[in-house]
Amino acid sequence: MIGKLIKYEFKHTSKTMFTTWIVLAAATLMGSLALYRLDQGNHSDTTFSVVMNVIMLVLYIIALIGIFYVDFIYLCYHYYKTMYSSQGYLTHTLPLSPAAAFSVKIFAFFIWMLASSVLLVISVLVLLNVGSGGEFFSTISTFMWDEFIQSVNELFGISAPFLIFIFIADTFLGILWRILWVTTSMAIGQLFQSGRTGFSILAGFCIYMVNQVVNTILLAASGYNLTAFLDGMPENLIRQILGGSMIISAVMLIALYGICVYINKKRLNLE
Amino acid sequence: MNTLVTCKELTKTYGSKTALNHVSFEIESGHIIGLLGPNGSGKTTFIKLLNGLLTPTSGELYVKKLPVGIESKKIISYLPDQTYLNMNNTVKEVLDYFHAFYADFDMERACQMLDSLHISPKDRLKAMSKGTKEKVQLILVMSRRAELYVLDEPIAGVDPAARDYILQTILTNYDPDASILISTHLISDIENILDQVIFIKEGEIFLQASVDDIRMQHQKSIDALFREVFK
Repeated sequence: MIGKLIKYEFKHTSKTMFTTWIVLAAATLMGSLALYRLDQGNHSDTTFSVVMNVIMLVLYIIALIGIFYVDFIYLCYHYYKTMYSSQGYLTHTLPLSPAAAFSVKIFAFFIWMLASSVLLVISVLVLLNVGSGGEFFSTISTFMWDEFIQSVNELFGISAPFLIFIFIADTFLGILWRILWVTTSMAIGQLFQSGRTGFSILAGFCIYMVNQVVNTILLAASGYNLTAFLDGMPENLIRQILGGSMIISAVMLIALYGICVYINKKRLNLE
Repeated sequence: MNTLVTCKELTKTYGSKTALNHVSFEIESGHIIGLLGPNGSGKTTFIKLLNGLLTPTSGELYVKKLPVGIESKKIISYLPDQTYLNMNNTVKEVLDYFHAFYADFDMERACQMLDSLHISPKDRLKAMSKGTKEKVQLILVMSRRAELYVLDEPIAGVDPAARDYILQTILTNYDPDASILISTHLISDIENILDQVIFIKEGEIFLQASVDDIRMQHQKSIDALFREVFK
């Protein structure tokens, strides 16, 4: 049953998501072309063509940022519509536990946003490659990679694979955090009889503040200060901050997930 | 007769407003029951509690002696008082969706009903009139071989011809062992198909009796008694 719901969840959202990705591909093509022409610029180029290429690059950057937000907002809207609006009547009367229905929606949301993020990174890499005359990947794979490993070791006292692991884990946690932040805010908002949008926004603000306060307390408790940073932090301190930050994020995610499941199971309010 | 639904001291409040106030009654299998009351009397609140769309403030609600949950959703076929399908879908897509999730969904029956109404499975819901959308929803609900059909205002907002079709569909497509709970305030239209009624007034059960008993005791139609009680 959960497998079927996953299938339908992806099916119902795929059309819009694929459309935004086609727009991203078109924007990448446009940006690459503009960058290539600027890179190959010769004296015969008119001011008009240079300006046009710059405009195309600016449009590419706007599209890059815009598509990420469009995808996120669309998935938030889809989630709200199928959980707390008219289509919620269907979702919540399927023979599934509230936790299962919620988890499937979060899973699909996460996978779509992860895929969008990966495609955005690929798009930027394509542009960098065009900008470097097609030598970006070959440079990265030899000289820069070795230098990167050495620099990470010297600057932070940690290995490059560890830093990459932290980066990937942080990306995953960051996407999940944003999703659960929004869904928990919506779940809290729907508990109220009126002004649900306002209460959702207020709940979102409160959750954000709690997260900030917890992270600040953690950072202070770990002994972080600006002087220590400028003097070069000892290896174990960096590990503590990175590891501690991830643990706190994971605890916050579990708490938000628990709140959502509890509300959908015990306090559902589809008036 | 088996008891399908049992509610004991069921209460639901919205802030300071009490929608259901210590309601207790039972629904048995094999009946068509009218849940009758004016707007705001608590009918839809009870139906939503029965379908797990609201949680009670206090009291107990059981479907076949089990709390409202996965098992109760398997045996209840629910028609809400509003459109709840994805309007971008075609009829075929919503049929497949119901078929995928409800083990008791009878695809053949659904296709026959659609055919009799000349509704093409390829039609998109958003291109349909309000009445046709309601008919599609009713077809989906009545195509399940459920033990309890819960229909919230199935004839509100549709023309008299559509009402006749809806009532006919309800009567011809349910298993005699199943029960149908119909919520409405349009009594005269459905009175003839009911065999039990529950009058709900300001969140409390005012009367639960068989239609025959009411006619015998009060020498009135259900509609006439309703008008007298809720005047």
